[in-house]
Amino acid sequence: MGQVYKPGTKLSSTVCKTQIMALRVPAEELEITCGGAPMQIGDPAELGAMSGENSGTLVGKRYTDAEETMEFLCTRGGDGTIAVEGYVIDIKAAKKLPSSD
Amino acid sequence: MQTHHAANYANQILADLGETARIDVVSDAPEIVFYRSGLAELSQPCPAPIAAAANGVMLALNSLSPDPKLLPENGAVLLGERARLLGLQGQGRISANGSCRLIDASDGRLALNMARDDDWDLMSAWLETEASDWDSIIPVIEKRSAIELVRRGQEMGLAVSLDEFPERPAHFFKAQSFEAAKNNQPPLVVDLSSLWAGPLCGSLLGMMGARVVKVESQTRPDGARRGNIDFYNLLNAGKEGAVFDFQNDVSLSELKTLIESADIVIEASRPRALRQLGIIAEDMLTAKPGKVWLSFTAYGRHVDAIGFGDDIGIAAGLTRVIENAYGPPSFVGDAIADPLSGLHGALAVWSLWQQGGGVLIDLSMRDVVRYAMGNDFTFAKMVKGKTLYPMRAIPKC
Repeated sequence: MGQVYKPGTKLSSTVCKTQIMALRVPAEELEITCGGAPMQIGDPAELGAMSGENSGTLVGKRYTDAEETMEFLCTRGGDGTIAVEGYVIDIKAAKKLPSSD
Repeated sequence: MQTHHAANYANQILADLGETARIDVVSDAPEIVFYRSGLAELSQPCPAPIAAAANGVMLALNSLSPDPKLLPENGAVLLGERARLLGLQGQGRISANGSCRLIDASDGRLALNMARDDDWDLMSAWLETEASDWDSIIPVIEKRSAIELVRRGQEMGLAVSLDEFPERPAHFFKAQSFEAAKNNQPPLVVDLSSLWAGPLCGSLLGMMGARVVKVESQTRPDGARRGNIDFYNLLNAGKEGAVFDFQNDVSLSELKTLIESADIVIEASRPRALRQLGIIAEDMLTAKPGKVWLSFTAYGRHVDAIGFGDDIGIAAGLTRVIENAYGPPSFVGDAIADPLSGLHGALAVWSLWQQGGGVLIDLSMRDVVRYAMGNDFTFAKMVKGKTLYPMRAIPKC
């Protein structure tokens, strides 16, 4: 069961500490999971068991799908792997440095 | 008028480093130094004597240098150098380089620096409404809480800060001690930083006699290469270069070997960024007694937030000082936290290295600016009829 998300929404894993923020999302229903379990808005009262991939998430990294149609920022790292509609999303390359600051 | 301000400041920071105070010279009054640095083109004269403080740091560096002739003639010229090369003008609530803005929110004011184009993609998520340029974000920020937006923006990795007036810290840096050692000179400096503060620090260490290797990522070279080439050369001429591919395990392990062998490491990354690459400052300091590790961050290693020179200057209280003196708020200088931090960092590194090292220098750029501002703000007079300090000669790279 998917849901339509707005940029800025924070989602928490229900099986690990991972928390992500949606930066760019298509306006369609998406099922977003972490460690095999659906992510939810707000932290869960207690964590369930990991049932899917657990390669982990890194705080501060941006995650995107292969076509870069969506982007999430990891605001808290954890053990699970994030997937959207069943496809694992990966770390995006670091931002280009500015030419001046 | 001549004052002891620069000398007093030099002695104060030398004492903060455990050195004996030794400097006794008179020099230009702070408002004259501010004018001669070129910063008077960018804002009203700053009542906080930051340009005189820069001169003080250079006096202190001179006192430790084996060959002072190699150092810039004074510290203040470094503050205005880029603005003079680029012909920048003051723009009030917009930073001299154009990337940072002061914006009034419902409960205070914030500074937002959009130096990286990619950050525009984050605006809609940050503000939770469609926003893609200054005209669309400013009206949204005006209705929201600055404190809340800064907290959320920093969590997202934006260079956004609160316009506030923090208390002056007792020291201009924090230090964590490791095992010291008798140091052989000249030291090998590995400089992992980019842009302004870190590279300036590295180049000053080169002038103090160190061998400096500038490290760059193959996929993400120093962004300053795309800026003014003369300015880039001023900061980086004379350094050796080394390029690594951080995504490649072999290349990354070569980089670690280089960092392990360094006597002095300069970096300006968030601590977790290096940790995620397996480069742990504390481990490296433990493994090699006598090493000095200089970590530039916006607000200290314990704060997971980034910043650039202009937004950090606002967080240090410079705009409050201007506002109290003149009314309209404005930026002061050009990315002012960068050159001030580069200068202070070089002095701290060189002094502590000579004392045997074994130290992690946690240099908060906001603390440096606030420390340099002092607590004695005199309404500065407009200065006329003085010449600017001569620009440094541009070296060939």
